[in-house]
Amino acid sequence: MTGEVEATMRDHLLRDDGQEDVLIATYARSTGNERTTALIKSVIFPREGERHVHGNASFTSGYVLRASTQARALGHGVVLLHSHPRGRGWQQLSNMDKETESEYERVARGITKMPLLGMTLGGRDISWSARFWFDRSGPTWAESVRSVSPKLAVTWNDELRRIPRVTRSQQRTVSSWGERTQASISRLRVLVVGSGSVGLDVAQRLAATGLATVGVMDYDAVETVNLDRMIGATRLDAALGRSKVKVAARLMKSSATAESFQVRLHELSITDPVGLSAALDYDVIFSCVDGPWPRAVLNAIAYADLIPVIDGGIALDTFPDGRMRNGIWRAHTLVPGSPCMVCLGQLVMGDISLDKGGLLDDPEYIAGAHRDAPSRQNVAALSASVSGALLAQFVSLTAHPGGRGIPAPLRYILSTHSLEHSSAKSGLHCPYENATASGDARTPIAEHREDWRTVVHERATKRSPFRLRALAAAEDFLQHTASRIIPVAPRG
Amino acid sequence: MSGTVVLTGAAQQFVDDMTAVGAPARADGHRILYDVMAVHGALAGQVVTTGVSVSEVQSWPAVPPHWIHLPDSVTFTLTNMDDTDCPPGWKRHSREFNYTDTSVPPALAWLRHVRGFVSTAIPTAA
Ligand SMILES: [Zn+2]
Repeated sequence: MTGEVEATMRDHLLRDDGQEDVLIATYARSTGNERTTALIKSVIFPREGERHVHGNASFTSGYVLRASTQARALGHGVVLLHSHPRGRGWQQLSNMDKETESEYERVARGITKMPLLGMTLGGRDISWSARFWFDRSGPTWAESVRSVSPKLAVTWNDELRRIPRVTRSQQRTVSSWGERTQASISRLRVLVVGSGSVGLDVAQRLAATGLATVGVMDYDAVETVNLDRMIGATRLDAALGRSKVKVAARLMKSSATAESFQVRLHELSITDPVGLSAALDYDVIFSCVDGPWPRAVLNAIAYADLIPVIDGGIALDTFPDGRMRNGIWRAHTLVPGSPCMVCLGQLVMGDISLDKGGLLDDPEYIAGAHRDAPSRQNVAALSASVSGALLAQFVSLTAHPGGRGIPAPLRYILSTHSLEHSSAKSGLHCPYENATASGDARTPIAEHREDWRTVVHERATKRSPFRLRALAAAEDFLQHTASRIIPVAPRG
Repeated sequence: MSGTVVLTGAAQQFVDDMTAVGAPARADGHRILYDVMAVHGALAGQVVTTGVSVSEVQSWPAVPPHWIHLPDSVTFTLTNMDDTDCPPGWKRHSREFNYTDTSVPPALAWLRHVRGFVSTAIPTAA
């Protein structure tokens, strides 16, 4: 849910008189490969006499019927919410709550053709719990409830996603923000889209921070021309034409501090529906790609599917004689309530169809359109500033230093040494932000394509010279053995 | 061009949005057509029928189209052009669309872009 919807529901459910209360809302689905998320859409307040508040608050069937009919008209499902004003942490269901939800399950599903969602708010520490009712026999518990605004707040179901044990190598991390924050951050599933200079660095630092699950998505291979920026990628990786995600996995495993670290590799394109589905399983996404089309897909996900996207990049500018004139790097987090890439001027909508048509790489087109060829300058000494800026956004989003969430979009100007906060505002007609929480009803931007599939397939079937394969095998053996002999140590 | 193409939600949205900003749009085979008035150039004061490929508005309004379809009789000094989705007597022109001001509805921004382009037409050589 968005922070705005959460605040509306919280204000109703937590009463001044300390009594329990009930509320109904509607939801839309956002379906990934493994995860289904219910996105809370609209809140339907009770009318006079539609609920009883004293002791155990309850819904009248009139209220549930009215809300279900309204939900069906919108193509949404129904959410029944109630509060436990003195509750703390993930709330379980009392027998009476269970009976109520089980009783209304059939009404809601019958009318909306979507499973009923039950939610409970624990008032002491503002924690939410949620469960789907696929039939009336019993609920299927959610793994987490996420509230997305400039601060990402997650209530975890500790039984389904256990708190990772703090390890000895994480002592200084934990002493920086406390065990509670570490317990939440380390459970976030974070995806890095684009595993080049910036993405590779971000992915390794997330692993070192103690995250238990990090995904990387890229369909390209390491080439010699990348080696000046992809820190950790080797000449052997380039000679073998190894996929960038495999290189990222190796480096992440060796820097991971979690007791059990899971790296998920996606040799996919985010501009294809298969890449999109994979991305919808994550809690936070880093956008480390520079094409307008992939960035448009990520810009859409941030709003339509309520998954915060941390985006940024660098542009270097040279004098005609080749010396450096200036450099600007930017970092911004896309969440409902903050301007999207288009409103920030960081994505020109007209360029998306050019990118889809391959025209941005077509010299003939570029000359005909009197357009500047894309600048490809980048130096390793500066790409760390971009990854650093993106990671600082991540910390602001998830650890809220100073009690604040993400900053306004930032840009650093190298020539004048100044850090600027953008005052850009969202436009009234922004098609991305106006699609907030549309989930599976989103406008499709990703499209099935063969070109990247061919790249992945050719790499998988290519055979390298024997001496390179022998070196690769020796390297694998060494790494595997090292991680067995020297495991991550739990905190004693 | 004949043969009916069923419009997807996004393509239908394009038709509705263009119609709402004063350019009633209609499906025509693999294209969506509408009329604009040129304000300057060789065609100043004339109403010109123009359009886009249906395939280019499959992600409307998140992804605007690029190519502008026009009859052969409308010519320009400098554009990239081809005849994809065009019936005989038509061409598809490329013009960069620099839409970033989301305080303007996407269809209105697109209409202004096309009107601006048509107003740069030059007299036909023939
Ligand atoms: Zn926007």
